[in-house]
Parts: sequence; C-alpha cells; structure tokens
Amino acid sequence: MSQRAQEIQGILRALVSNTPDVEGAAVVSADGLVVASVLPAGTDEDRVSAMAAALLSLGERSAGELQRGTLEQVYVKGASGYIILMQAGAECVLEVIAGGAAKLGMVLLDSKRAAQDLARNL
Amino acid sequence: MQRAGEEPVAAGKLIVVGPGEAGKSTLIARLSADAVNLAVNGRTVAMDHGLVRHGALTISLVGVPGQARFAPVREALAQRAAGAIWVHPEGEVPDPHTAALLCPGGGPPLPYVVYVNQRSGSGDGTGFAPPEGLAPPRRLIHGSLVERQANLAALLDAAAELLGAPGAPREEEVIG
Repeated sequence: MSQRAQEIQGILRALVSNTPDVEGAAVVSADGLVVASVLPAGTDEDRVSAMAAALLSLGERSAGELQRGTLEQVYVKGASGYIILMQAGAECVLEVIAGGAAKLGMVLLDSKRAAQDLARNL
Repeated sequence: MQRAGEEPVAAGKLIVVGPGEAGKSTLIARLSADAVNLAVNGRTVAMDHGLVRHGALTISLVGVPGQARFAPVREALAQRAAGAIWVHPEGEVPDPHTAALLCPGGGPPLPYVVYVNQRSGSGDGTGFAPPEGLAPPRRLIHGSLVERQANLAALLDAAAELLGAPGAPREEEVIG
C-alpha cells in the first residue's frame, strides 16, 4: 500500500475509533468507486460506494435546483442510525455511518475535520 | 400543475434501462429538451430524467445508471414504473442485469419496448432475442441516436402504448 493510501486509511481509522458511535467510514470517488474504507464486516463496499455517489449527485442537483447553494452535506436518518456524506476534496466523498445513539454534533464535527484532512491527501 | 382551462393530462413513469454506454442518457436528451443527467466524467451515476409530452400524455422518463455497481440505485429507480424502454446496442447479447430489472421484487414483469441503437450506422438489422424467461417486448424499434434516423416518433408511440394511452396499438410490431 502506498504512503498516501496508508494516510487515507489512517484518517478513516482515526475517525471510526475516536468518535463515539461512528461505526464505519469510506472514501468514495465521485463516480462511485471505493478509494478506502473502514466499514463493518459484511458490508458490500462496492454497492455502498455506488449509492454514496448517487446520493451526492442527487444532493448537489437538488441544492442547486432549490437554490440552497453549494452542497455541504447529505444526511440520511434511519431507525438505527445515520449516514452522512460530505465532499472530501474536489473528486471524492467521505461517507460516515453512525449508530442511532450518536451525538450528531460530535459526528459532524469530527467528520468535517476528517474530510479536510482527506482533501489534503487526495 | 394544471392551469385553468387546460385539459387534464395523464402522466406515467417509464424507466429507461440497458447496459452501460448503450445510449440511455442520449435517448432521454433527444426526447426531452429539459432532460437532467446526473453524471460524473460522462457516465451516469445517479439518474437521468426527462418529461415528454405526447398527445394528452406526459411521460416521465427515468434513466438508470448502467454500470453494474449501481444495481441498488437501479432497483430504487424502478419502483412504481409502469413500463420500461430497453436501449439495446445492436449486435450485443441482451444484458441479463437489465432483464432482471424488468421483474422488480420478483413480481410480474414490466411491459417493455426495445430500442435497438444502431450506433455504428451500419446495422445489419439484427434484432433482439429476449433472455430466457422474459416475454418478448411489446415493440422492437430500430434507430440510430447518433444519426438522423433516430425513429423517435415510433418510440414515443410505443411508450404511450406502455402507459395505456387510448387508441394505442397493443400488438407486437416491428418498426425498422
């Protein structure tokens, strides 16, 4: 694994291990290919990555159509937790999954910092 | 939105399916002046959408991403579709993933028409043999999206038929 790949993987590991209730994270290219991931066992990272790219694309378009400005985050809440997507550099997306009991403010804050770190490495 | 004095307009959703780079986005863009394509690097990653007025009918065309990894997106977009337009690159074997999409949730198959895209312009008239277990298309239409002979009027007639437009023919028909 290249040094850059190790750094990206390290940023994801730190996010998952240091933020309570964050259960997984992945970096996905804008066209839906996985770049790096720390996802729960059994997760199909290819499918998850493709869906993340589609969600981000829809979010960008929706924000534009509804004059909400440049997309910053896509937020999905299910009965068992959250999915958060945010841009990480010009061509990638950070996807974070968190449990239902997560402190959302903490998750968003740490995710934003991770996205900024990733942007410097991508 | 219906304005005062306008006749009510029937609307229906058709999904536009087919393998990657078959011409789905191009087809929707040719049919709808206001088409939206959500793409990255020229490949659809989320969906296409276009509205087409055909007589008293408004057809909502929803194009699905063709690349294999977008299977869950395709399945989501196929929900509540009344039928499908299958864009088939001439000379290729019909894509089994596309065929599976025509039977959402293992339920009854969606009615569909096939648009054989003669991209090279040198098509030999080769048709379309549906994969095993799938009923033949309602209509098989040949056209070229990169040339003038796109045959889009015939395709719109077939699309209207899928949505049960009054007076639309039901029999299988080949238009070449």
